[in-house]
This record gives sequence, structure tokens and C-alpha cells, in this order.
Amino acid sequence: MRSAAFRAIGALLLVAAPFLLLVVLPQNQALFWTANVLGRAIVFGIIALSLSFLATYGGFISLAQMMVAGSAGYAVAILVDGAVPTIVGGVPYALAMPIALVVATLMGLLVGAVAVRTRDIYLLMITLAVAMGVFRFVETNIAWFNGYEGIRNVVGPQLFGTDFRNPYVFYYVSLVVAALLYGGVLYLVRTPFGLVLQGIRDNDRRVAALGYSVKLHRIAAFGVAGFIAGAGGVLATIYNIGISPGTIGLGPTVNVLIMSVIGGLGHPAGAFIGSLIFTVFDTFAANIYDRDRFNTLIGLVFLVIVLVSPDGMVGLGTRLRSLLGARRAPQP
Amino acid sequence: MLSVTDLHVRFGEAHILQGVSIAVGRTPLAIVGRNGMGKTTLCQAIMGLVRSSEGAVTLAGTPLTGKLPYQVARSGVALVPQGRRTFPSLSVHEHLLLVARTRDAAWTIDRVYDTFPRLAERRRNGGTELSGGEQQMLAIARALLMNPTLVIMDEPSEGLAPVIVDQLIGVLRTLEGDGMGLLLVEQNLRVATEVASEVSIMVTGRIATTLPAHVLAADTEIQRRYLGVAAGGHH
Repeated sequence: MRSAAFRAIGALLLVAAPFLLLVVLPQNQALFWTANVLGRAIVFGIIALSLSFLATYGGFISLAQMMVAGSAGYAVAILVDGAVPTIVGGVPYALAMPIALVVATLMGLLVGAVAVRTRDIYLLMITLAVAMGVFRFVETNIAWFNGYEGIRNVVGPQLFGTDFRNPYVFYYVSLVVAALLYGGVLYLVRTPFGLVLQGIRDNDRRVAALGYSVKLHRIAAFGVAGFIAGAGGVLATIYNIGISPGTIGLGPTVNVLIMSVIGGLGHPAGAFIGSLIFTVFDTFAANIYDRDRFNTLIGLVFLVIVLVSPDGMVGLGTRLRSLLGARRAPQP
Repeated sequence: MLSVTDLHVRFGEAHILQGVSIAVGRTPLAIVGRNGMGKTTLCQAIMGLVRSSEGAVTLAGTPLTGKLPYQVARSGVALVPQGRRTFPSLSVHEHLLLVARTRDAAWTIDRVYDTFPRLAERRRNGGTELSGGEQQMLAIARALLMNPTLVIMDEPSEGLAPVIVDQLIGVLRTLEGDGMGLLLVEQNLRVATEVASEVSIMVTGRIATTLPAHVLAADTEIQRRYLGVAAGGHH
């Protein structure tokens, strides 16, 4: 019951956050926090969610999720009206965004199929190899991806007569998308498909002996993760007003993993918690210490969290709760 | 129902199964033998979990040889593996949801809970938070819910208390009434002879002999020769 109340308060806080920020901060700072800290954290949290979904329930650590997100971002940038340079163009956002989700899902399925026979460190390496292969290809291909420069001016559709990049519109759209995907993941893992995934993580031979194709379920899980990452990729591309190869380079690829691990791979909520911590440090590293030392700072934070709680912030929460519960229990 | 003909399995140089032939009909067949004789390998080879180098496995005329484990399972063979192998991540109820496919089959989740009331009580517990007996019941329930043509059980009585073993024997005896075939691999001679009508004895990768259960139960000389058990050791 108490955790349900906590959840309701958390959801309420997220919905009210832009207005609460207005109360405590001057308007321009409140807007900055709404879009550039919270909004961005949610968007990257969605991409991290795709990894958390695979890792938490299937035991698959994939380093290709940022690349898959990027494939959706590139799909939008290539298709939509107004992007610079125009590569295909002429497609409205209402059509380009669903196509982008399909592209990301297919890309996820492809990564899943390529990596289907590997696990653990080998899975990590093969997904990293695929991601870096796509990164280099995109970086050097001018005709389709405009090479190193990437594609700019992807501003997003008009929504309710307002600019998509209006901080409030962007925040709430991202929040709704994140909530739907998060709820979808929690629902999916209770279905037989989700149970099979968890069975695969525990003992894949046993799952096969129960009549389920481990390969097909693994590939499908990567497809689902691709869809999730794709949604994050579309939003991230609109947030960045475009996309360039740097978005899917080694740094961002590893950052997604760091977010998931900081948050904790025990629960999909960890993706968003990790992404928020990461984004706050990324944004304010310059004020706290030195812009160039961001990696040192986030590395130290990462080390501290992993040392204190190997299962991330989610694990820390669980541990604190059981500690409090244990202290309360002996009282009559 | 199940027919295994001249099955060979090799792990590198080691020749584990050296031409096993068995036939399981409507009545349960038990296979007994000492440790390391190839009983578990036979179960895994039928299931497709290990590759056989020669020989054939058919279920009601359909060849199973060379099929992948999930295809064998879909063809109607369920394996209750040695050591039970329940999933730590899933609750008892989730284990059952995982395999329950149809509502109008012989075995449903409701029937499982009727048959194993203990599982109903522990439906929210994780698969490894159960006692050995409960885990075994869960592993068996998981297999029955697949409503297979044939169930293979690999040492289901291993590590169970005698009173639980009696309960297990009771459950296994009901399977024939459902028209489900049973291949029972056991070290416990009492379980084997009380459940099955025929017992095959396995020695170094071969079936040494097959005889009616009551004959084996009574013949301490055969027991001593093939199984190394002392007279009356099954009490």
C-alpha cells in the first residue's frame, strides 16, 4: 500500500514539475530545467529503458541501443520536410515518426538476430561492433546521411498550434511517451512472452525444453527494445534539432550503459533515475568543477554508486527500505 | 508411443549411449541403473538437448531425431529434469502461466492447484523459495500443463523425504488414466517398481535387460547384479 502511495506521489510530482520549478526558480531557469534537464533526462531515460528492459528481464547487455535510437532519428531527419540538407524530404512528421519507429524496430530485430548465439561479454562485443560499424558508415556516407555534418533543422511537428520544442510541450510529450513505454514494459513482462524472457535469463535450455524457441524470443525482445529506443531516438533528434554521427558514437553508446547501471538494472525505473543523475551532472559539471572534467566527475559518481550499491539507485532504495523495516520490526 | 531405436551418443571420445532401444507404450516404463550409466543422457538425447550420432527416436510414428528441444516439446514430449530446475525469477503461478496454453485441456492451472494444494498456498513464492518436494511438484506440474503425449521424468524422487515420495508415487500412478505416457528414470527401485509395469535396467550405455516390475521387485539376485543394492534395500 505504501509503495502505491509513493508511486502516486512520484507521478504527481513529475506532472507538476514544470510548475513547481516556476515557483522556486526564475522563469528562464525554470524553463531550462523543464526542457534541458528533466525533458532531456526523460528522453535519454527512454533509450536507457530499452537497455534496462533487455538487461533486467532477458539478461542481455546490448551496446547497440544508442545506434538503434539513432536509426530512428536518422529516419525522421532523412524523411521530413524542412530538414537541411533535404535527402528525401516531403514527408510530414505524422508519417515520418511511425516509419522511424518501424525502422528502429527492424534495426533492433537485426541486432538481435546477429547476436542471437552470443551471451555475456561476447554479446556486449558483438553489439558494440554492430553499433560502431553503423556509426562509421553513417559518418562517411554523404548521399544518405550527409556524413560528418549530419542533418539539421529537424524541429518537430506543430502540436496544439504550438512549437514542438516549446519546453512545456516537449516535456509533457516526452513524459507521456515515457509513461506509456514504461507501463508497456511492466505489462509485457507479466505476459507469457515476458515470462519466457525471464526464464531464458535463468536457464535457456529449460525454456527450450518447455517448447519455446529461445532464438525467436530473444530476437523479438531486441525488436521490442528497438521500438523503445526508436521512440527515444525520435524525441532526442527533435530535442537536438537534428542528428549527426556523433550522436551514436562510442561516447553516447557507453553513456546509455552508464545511465542504466547508475539507476540499477534490477528494475526499469532505474533507467530514468540513472538518466536524471547523469543529465544533472552532465549539465552542471562546468559549474561544479570544470567542463572538461565531466568524465572524471561522472566516473567518480559512477564508482561511488556502484561501490555503495552494486545494483544501482534502485537497489539502494530497496536496501534502505529493508534497513528501515528491519529497524522498525523489533518494536512491539 | 515413444520408440527409441539403437541410439548412440558420443561426447568426444566418450561413447555414452551405445545403442539404446526402448519402447514406451500406454503403460509407464521405468529405467533404473547406477550412476554414470547414461540415464540422464538418454533423457536429454530424446529431448534434443544433446545430439545423437546414430539411431532414431519417434513419437507415435513422428520422427524426433535431429529436432531442436523446443520442437520436440511442441511435438508432445515434456521433460522433468533431474535437479528440478525451477526458475528463480518466476513465482509458482508464473511458472504455470508460462506453459498453460489452453483452457479445455486435460491439465489446467486449476487442476494443478487441486492436485497439489501446497502449490496453491505458495503461488506467490519464487521458484527457488520452495522446499525440495514443492519444487519437484512444481517441475512436474509444469510438465503436465504442457499436456504432452509423453512425460519423461529424470529421478523425480531424488532428495525427497519418504512421505513426499509416497505422494509422488500417487501422482505418477494417475497419469496413465489421462492417457499420458511416462518414461520414468529412477535410482529408487521402490518408486520405479511401484509406478511402472515394466523396468529396463541400464548398464554402461546399454539396456541390459527389461523385465516386469513385480519380477524385479522380488528378485534380489538381479538387483544385486545390476544395481548393487542389498536385499531389502528398498524398504
